[in-house]
Amino acid sequence: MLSSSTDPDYSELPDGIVLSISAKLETRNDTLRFRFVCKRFQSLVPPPPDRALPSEAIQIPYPIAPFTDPLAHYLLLESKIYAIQSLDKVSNPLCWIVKVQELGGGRARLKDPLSGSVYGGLAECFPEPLNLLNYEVTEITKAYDLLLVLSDELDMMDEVNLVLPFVVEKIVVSNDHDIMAMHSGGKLIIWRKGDSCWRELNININEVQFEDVIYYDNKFYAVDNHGRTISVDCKTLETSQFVNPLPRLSAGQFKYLVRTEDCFYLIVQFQIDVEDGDFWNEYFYPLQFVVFRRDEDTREWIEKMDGFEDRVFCLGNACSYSFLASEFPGTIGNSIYYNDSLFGQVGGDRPGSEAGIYDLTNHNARPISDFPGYSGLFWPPPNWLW
Amino acid sequence: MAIMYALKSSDNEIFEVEQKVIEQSETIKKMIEDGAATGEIPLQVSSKTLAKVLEWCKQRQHKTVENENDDNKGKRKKERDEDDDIKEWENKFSDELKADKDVLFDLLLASNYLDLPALLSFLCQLVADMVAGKMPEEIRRMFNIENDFTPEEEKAITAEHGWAFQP
Repeated sequence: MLSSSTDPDYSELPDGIVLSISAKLETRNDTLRFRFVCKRFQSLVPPPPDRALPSEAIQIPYPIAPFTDPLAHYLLLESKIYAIQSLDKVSNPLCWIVKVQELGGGRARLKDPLSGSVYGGLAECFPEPLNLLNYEVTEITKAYDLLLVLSDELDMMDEVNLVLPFVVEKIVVSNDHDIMAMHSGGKLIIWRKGDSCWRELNININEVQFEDVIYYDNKFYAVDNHGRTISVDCKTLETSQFVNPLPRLSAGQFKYLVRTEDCFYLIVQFQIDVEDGDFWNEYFYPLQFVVFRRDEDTREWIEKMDGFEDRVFCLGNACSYSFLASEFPGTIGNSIYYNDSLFGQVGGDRPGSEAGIYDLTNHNARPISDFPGYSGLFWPPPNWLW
Repeated sequence: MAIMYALKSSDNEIFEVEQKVIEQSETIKKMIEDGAATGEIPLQVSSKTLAKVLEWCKQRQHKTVENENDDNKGKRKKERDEDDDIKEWENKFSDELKADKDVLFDLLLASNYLDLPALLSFLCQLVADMVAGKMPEEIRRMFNIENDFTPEEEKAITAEHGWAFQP
């Protein structure tokens, strides 16, 4: 009946309406919480797709004979970087950024959000499992690793004698789980899902040495030590020059590709020549980051000096990412977050324990612990979690 | 001369409405087309809810008519102004419904029954916005829903959506 009554019970809404409401929920967590309201909602609303990539799902061949399958293969491991915020943002405004590898069945492994390192003994810092339904959980980006799985035969060999000829430096993965790997001093190889072996990338550049790779919108991108950046179509493997080389760039400077919603950036870490007395200056920092933006018309890297007021770059070996400080309170805009052993603290071994913040205006860097109110971004787990 | 129809609410109140306004309801449009709508059209909707439904339909109709009468010159600016007006009207409409969940509930059912897809979509978005970022317990309180999970079931769901960090 359609008559009004006092205190209508919304769990009695028709199926179609319940489904229309759930279809308009934007985040995975909102859908999960909505399903958890009552049994009827739970049975009506389909669960959102599982977030974690099943670790056994994708088996990838080892690239170099004689260690090819069945002696060795890889598994693809997926981690995600999340910003976790309290639902009560008035009392707990600051967010917590974590890198987590979800292992299925509610188990997870915590990693360093910049280096991707796994630290021991962190489980003790969590009196009980985190219930994700209690927070606002925003995925910032995904990151991947290859886990080498050796056959028993190889595993029994003395580890010292077992020198594997292939070292993965970084991998990037497409939405369809095609993989581009940078390996052995800056070479690229590609494995497309279903392929029986890896393929060398056909690039007509002599002695090219790549320094970073990223994935964006069905293309892989790789930058070499001169700043030359190529794009590679994930399916056809067609390559083209995406950005021209820049004369001031060379080997020996760390390079990071970062993609934001509307721009491609190359961030380069230069060493500064040290002069006498510099070391006595408390604020002297021997590195300088320069941010280049890709100019769409000329395909050149253009140095960008300002306009980063709200922009945060996070650089790491495993993956680099960017967001706006206003999106995630507790982060500082106009800056680069990165790890440096210079920032390491005694008794560290915790996510973010080597993290520092580089100011893009005054070109100075300080360990994250030097920023009161901002130092807990990666560690420790905030009190409002429980 | 506009054709008028008389709608009769479940509590016997009569609403005189232009055909163009009420034809937004697919249900009533079909009744009219089938010739079933002679005299008063009885609806299983209370007068309070029907008044809200018609308020919505008139606002939508108003916009469509004005756009038809526009010439192209200066249309852009006018459209922008109108969009602002509509936003303002919709906000007020939403605020009233948020404060009165009885009417919101009845309006959801009525928009479903009268087959008013735009209104139904608007209302579902409103409920979704109210639900977003809220814990299940808050949602239950807000919409008078009983928690029918046992503590054991709750625990299992929590574990499924948690992170137990591995050493």
